[in-house]
Amino acid sequence: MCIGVARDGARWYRGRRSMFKKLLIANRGEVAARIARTSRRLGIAPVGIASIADMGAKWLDAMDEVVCVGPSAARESYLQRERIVQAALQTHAAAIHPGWGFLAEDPLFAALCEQHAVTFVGPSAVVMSKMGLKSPARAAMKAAGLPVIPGSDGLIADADEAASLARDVGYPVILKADAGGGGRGMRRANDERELRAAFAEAGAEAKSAFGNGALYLEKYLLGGRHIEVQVLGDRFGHAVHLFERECSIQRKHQKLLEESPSPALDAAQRLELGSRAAAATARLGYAGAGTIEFFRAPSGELYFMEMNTRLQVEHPVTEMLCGLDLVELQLRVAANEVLPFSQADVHASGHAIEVRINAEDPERDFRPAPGTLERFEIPTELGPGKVRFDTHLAQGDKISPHYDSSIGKLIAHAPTRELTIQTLLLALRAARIDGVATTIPLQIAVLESPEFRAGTYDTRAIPGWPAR
Amino acid sequence: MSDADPTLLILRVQGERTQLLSPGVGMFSGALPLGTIVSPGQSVGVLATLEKRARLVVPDGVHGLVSSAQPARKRAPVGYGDVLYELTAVDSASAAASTQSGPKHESGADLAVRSPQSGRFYHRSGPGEPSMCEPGRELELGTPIGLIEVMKTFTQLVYRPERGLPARARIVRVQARDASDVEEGAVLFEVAPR
Amino acid sequence: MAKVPLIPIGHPRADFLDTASFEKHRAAMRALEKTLEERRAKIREGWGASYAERVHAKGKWTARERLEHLKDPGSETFEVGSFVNFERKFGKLESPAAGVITAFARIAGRWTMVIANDNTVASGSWWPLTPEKIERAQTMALRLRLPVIYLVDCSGLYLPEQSRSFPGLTGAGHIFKKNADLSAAGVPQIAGVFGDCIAGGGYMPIISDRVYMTEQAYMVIAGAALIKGAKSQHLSSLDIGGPEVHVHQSGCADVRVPDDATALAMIRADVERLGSSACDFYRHGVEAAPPREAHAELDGLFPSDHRMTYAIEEVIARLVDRGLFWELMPERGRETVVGIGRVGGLYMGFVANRQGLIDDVEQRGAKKPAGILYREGIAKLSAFSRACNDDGIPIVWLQDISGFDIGVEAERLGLLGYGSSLIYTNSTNSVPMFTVLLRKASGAGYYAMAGLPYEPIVQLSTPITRQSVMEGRTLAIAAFNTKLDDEFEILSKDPAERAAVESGMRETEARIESDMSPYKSAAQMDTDEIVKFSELRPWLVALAEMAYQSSGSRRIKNPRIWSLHDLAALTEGPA
Repeated sequence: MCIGVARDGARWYRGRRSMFKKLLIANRGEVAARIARTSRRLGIAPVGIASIADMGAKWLDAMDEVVCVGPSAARESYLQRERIVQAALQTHAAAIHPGWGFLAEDPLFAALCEQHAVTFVGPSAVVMSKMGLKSPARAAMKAAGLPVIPGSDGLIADADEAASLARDVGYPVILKADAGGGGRGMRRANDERELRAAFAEAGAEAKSAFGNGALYLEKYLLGGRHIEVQVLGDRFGHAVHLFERECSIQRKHQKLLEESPSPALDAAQRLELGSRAAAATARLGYAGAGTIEFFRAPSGELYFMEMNTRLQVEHPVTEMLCGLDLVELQLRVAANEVLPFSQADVHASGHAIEVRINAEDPERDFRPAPGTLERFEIPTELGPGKVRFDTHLAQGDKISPHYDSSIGKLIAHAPTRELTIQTLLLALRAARIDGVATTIPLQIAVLESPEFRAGTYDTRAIPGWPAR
Repeated sequence: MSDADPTLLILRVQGERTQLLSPGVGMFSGALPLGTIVSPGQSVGVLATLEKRARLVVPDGVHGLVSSAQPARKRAPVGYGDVLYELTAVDSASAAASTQSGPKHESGADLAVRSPQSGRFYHRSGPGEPSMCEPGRELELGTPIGLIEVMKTFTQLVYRPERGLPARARIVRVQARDASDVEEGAVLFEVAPR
Repeated sequence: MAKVPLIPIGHPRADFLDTASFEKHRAAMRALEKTLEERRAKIREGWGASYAERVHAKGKWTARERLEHLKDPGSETFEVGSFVNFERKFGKLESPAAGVITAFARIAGRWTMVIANDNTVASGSWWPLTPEKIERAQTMALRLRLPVIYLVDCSGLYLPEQSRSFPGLTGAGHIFKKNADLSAAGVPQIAGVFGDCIAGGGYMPIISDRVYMTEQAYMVIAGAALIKGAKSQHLSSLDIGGPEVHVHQSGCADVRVPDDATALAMIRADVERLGSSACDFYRHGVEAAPPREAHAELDGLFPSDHRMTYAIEEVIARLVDRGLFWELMPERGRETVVGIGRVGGLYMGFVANRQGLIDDVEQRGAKKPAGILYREGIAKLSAFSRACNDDGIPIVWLQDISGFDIGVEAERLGLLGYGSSLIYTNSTNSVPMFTVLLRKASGAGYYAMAGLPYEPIVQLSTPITRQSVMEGRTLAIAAFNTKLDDEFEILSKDPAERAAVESGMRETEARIESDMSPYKSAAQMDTDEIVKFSELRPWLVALAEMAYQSSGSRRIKNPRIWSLHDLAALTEGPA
């Protein structure tokens, strides 16, 4: 049985434990490669899916079997729920890992897996639905004891109710679409006149964009930081947190760099935030890995923003910090194992930073730059800390115009923040990528900037990269 | 006998070789044996996805002799784009002999919306309602294009960009008059892409 | 395949119905729903505010206030029979809801049937059809094994109409027979007596397992008015049969309580002592979820012209959880759709009519109209109905049916026989069946698809339901048959006679049209309730929960061993 956390993050159990024999990975590229790696290590045969465009790609070599699920467009392949569940059934895969993106937060996909007795590696469809809509998520988290940004408890009936609420919480306020995303259906208002106008506009916009015109209202908070807590729960009511990730360096809501610990929290605050997040996770009956995002106001208060019911792109930061394999933990929870450790067994050591390397040209407004990787070398041995490079690509590969522009993620871990920065800079400066433009120059500029070094950045600007 | 969900196979022609490919993921059954002649509109097997069965149909313009062996399993797992049939050409005489069930169209219009069945075709959903069938009207998936009355039952016809029709079209010329009797396959109106 | 292979059905509305048509249908439906809401509101007022004040003046609550305090806070109640006696005159009087409220209500998380005399309508008197309405509610509770709560406040039969409510087979006394049947079947009954409970009414609470009496309540075989010497001795009915007598001396009641609020709180506590709902167990680990496409869209899917078609799959998609559905025998009898979906997480069988045109399997390339039943569809319905009964899957019949196929060929094929087999099946099924008359409910189709004469537990109508033996036009043709030729054109060449036939046919058609009104049907108890399309999904969720509430009361097979799987395997069709 459970013998506590091994520092290599690998095995908690004496002897062998039976597990899924085959796992279908409902994703592509770096995501699929990452999950296949753990799957393989645990002796679970990974089954891949691919679109026509991806057939023959090198990352598929990691799979025991591959099922082609449709043409190049994601809508006709990676988002085809029925074909993917059928692919699992006909390859006799017992479980499906959705990765992140595509169908990872699609309750219908989770429900379809459940109905066809394929284990979905993630939380239940119902929890996913609840967290997918902003006002139920907000209400659930408030009930579970997390602080939420002052605003409406549920949906707002009319402009009068909005105005009265806004008087209570104080201007400026922001109206948000319940089903929203990508900034649509959002309107900021500085006074009541603006609010009344915004109410009609935001409702109409949300209705046309999401088919759901429901709105809620929050106090609008300027600046601030985006700090998220990694949580993990099992099906027996246990939950732990795996500390936070600081994700304030963003461009148009796209994260560029993540680190842990957050320079904005002291030790006591970290533990307080983490334990509240873990308690909320247990209260929700949340099984699997998830992320609770918080907004840290310039004044220092922390508010719940949303919960992501999936593994995050930036999960390696936590993995390096805590010496754990989150994909393994997800699979164990999905196989109805009890969490193999308690909070006291989780230790974070040193500092970890991840930079995302995308095929985008930072000099040309981050325009996606698909092409062929004529040269692709990123050294990971230069020290002084440890470096992990998560990618699915190799020299000579083409970056497909059909999907996102991610080339890979470079993660460094060292005893101190300064050493971690040094480690990353050494690797990034020595990196040689020809054939496509990448975001490496931007990442170097950020890591070199005094604001980043001082840890005083927020979501409003990218340190070291003046708006241009 | 089934008319449930006929689905066209994907055609791939590479030089001399003609292949029919799976249009989805699932269990393929009912494969024809080596040496069978296939022709457009013919059912050549079933693809079951999560127990929902689609009848696989040979697309237009395909005639040939099955030159591939049946799958080893009666219910064979296939992926999208997997080759289900290899065909070799047959001479035109035997092809013609095997095409009796192909679709028949009496008008030569290329981009034409045709009546799905015989009946009385109406341009309007009722007296005093605007016509759904005017030259210049813009069409896309789901745009109503008239009513057809068969045995006192009215069915709304909607535009579907299938069988070579463009995703976004405009009505160019109306052929079937309001409240006129039409045959199955008759041209209702011609469209142009926009 | 021991799994229940539900897959997504239905599409976003904009993919199959343009916004203009949708809004047009919806506007037409909204107008009908407005009428429905106004009529409901009027019925809920009973005899009006002055009568409610009289109740309050006595320190009592009205029947509706009692129901409100009895049910779980914030929960929805589902009333049946609210239109019984609608617009029916007794002299100058009317009896809104026949003077009694019968409603499914959730108490302490369990569904119950609440039967509450409306003390704002002639002090809760029983009118013609009041006994029948109460008995219908008792039957629903008996079939679903739901606890029954009687909130008694009834001054006896409305005497001027006693000949229509006292002596018959379903006269008032039959209520007590039903009390006994419920008790014999082990269905819990709890009564609260809040006021008058005279004559026959006196028997109603006694068979209940627990009887509460407020200090204002009395139960008597005959009131003080009929007792000799009562006046001189200053005896009131309360003296003769109040809690002092029945709780302490006769033992005809169990507990005396000071007021309405206490009685209701104690009844709630009693319900809480009963077995809890088994629904979560029968959800098999899956939680309830709403349909993927909003069920509120249903009111815009039905064309305002009843001859127009719509896609039944889209209707079903908006009734089942997440729009997931397993259609059985999809390739047979295409005029019908049968299959399984979850409603509130619980498996339910659905039977529905397809509209529009379908392929004619007997004539290659030809089409025939759906919306009626052919041989294969009838056989499919019978087989599905039998299998659901065998498996313990409650069935929802969604009717929009004009009747059976007719003609020489239909008779030769023996549709009478196939239809009778379906009727036999539905008549002998023991699984809970619920019927929804979406639109047309005509002819043998209404019978064959578990219309009210086949005793579905509940039958719901919508604002566009049309119940009749045949459509008005057809009935006019039948009535004037001798005056018509082969093509149903008028034979006579004489202008005067032609005009007479024409106007006669028009009149017949118009009369049938008004007879088909759902309000007329509901007033006569030919349907149980009229609901808005947007209320249909909540209704079905509630009915599903009721059908699965009481474990051990009926067969519920686990899905692995459903005979439906056999049916699916046998009808899978050639490859």
